[in-house]
Amino acid sequence: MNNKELIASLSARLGWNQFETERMLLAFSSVLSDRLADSDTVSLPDFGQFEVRKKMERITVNPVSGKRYLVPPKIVPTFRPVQQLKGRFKRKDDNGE
Amino acid sequence: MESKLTLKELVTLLAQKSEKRNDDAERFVKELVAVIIDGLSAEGKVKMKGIGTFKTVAVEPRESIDVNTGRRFMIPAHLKLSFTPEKELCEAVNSPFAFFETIELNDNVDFSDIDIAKESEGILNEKSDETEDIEAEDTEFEEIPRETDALIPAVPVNQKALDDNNIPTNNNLVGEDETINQPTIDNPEVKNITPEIEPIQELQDDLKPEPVSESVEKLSSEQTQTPIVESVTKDAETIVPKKISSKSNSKELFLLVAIFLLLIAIGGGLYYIYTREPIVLPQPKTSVDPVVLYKADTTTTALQDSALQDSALAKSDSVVAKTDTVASEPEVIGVEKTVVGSRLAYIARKYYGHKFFWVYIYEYNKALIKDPNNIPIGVELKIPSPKLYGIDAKDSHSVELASQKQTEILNHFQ
Repeated sequence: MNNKELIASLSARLGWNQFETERMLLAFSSVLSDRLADSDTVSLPDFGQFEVRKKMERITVNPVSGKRYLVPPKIVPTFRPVQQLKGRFKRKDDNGE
Repeated sequence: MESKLTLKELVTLLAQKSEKRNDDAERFVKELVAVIIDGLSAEGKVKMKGIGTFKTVAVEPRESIDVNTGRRFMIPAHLKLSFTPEKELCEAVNSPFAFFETIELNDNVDFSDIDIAKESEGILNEKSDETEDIEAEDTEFEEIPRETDALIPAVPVNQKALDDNNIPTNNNLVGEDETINQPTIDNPEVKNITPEIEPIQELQDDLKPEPVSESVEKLSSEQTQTPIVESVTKDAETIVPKKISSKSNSKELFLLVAIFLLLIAIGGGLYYIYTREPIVLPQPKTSVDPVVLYKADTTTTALQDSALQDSALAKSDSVVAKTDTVASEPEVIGVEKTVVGSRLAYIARKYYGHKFFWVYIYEYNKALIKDPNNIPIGVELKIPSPKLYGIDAKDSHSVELASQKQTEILNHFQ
């Protein structure tokens, strides 16, 4: 499902027009990225939580050339689904679907 | 900051941003979650603009051991939810660290105390995006050693000028000092220093009315970056008291902090030089140094105008001549007393920057050391000057020679 289909399906459910839904989705993503940039955690019930993780700097070796590189530390956004959602996908697969 | 946002807070923020009512925003978020879950169930992939992609990933069945019973059991194949953030979001989150870049490490940088993470798998995956970064970084990185290289040839010329010319300028001295300093600094440090210099140049413009800075600026245009650093400390010394009396706005405060940090950096650098070559540091020189620098400075600029400065000129001459004799290379750069746990390799790394060069310390102290693997305790090892054996930790050829010598010596003792 791409962004267009997502908006179409959302506006059908909400009874809003597509333009409105798109604007709302944009606002949602900007709020989310603002909060994450402030290292906040954003949790959505029955879905999961968005949070940031700090990755330490590390030294990697290119196996072909043998050169060593210092990869700098970075902060990455992550999503942790709630247990319930994880279980849902697991079970679904168990049923052979 | 680092707080956990609940649905309520998120909805409030969202309502403000989109200028909608709170309950509309809440309904939107709930429906969004429902649509995403539906989409994942139906298609296994949902893409959201500005956030990222949610995807279900199939996990192969695998065997595991129950930690409680110790029995083997199979974890069945299942689906896992994965989230790949969009580049936009990554950049927004990573903005505090955005200025970092992947850098290539030189061969002779010793990281023996840091674990090397051989993440060959990770590299293969990330190769495509990372190689570009690395290439760009490569060129940038190589430029820095080149700059220092350009300074090295300047040393013999300056020294020659010191011997021949009767009116040596102070920047000869400064240049010499700094060139000794520069090559010994590790590459990352050089990188740290270079960006610092730009703001300094701006600083200089602010400080222009000072007579010292004017003359110094003249010098700095002739020389490369190093004299600039020197000159600004001089400026700083003259300016600091004035600034403290009129501490008013934050800009000045920032200036003070910058100058203070710079002074510390230079102090550290000088300390490093003096500890490396203790004989170059006779006490009279350190006390006279700033004065001499200043004096020589004024003499050079005022030289064309007046001959009245002759006496002062002669004075600075004699001082410079004195420092010249002092600065001539000693054969021994230090004495190291061995204690329990001393290793030639450690000593070599301390003095020369690479452990392989222990062979030269051994060579020089052969009379004292019978077996390099088992050095006597309590003897004073003389550390030969790196010039004596052509020791240069940055030169791979020099390291190579030392390494050959090492195998030779170690074979002899086996």
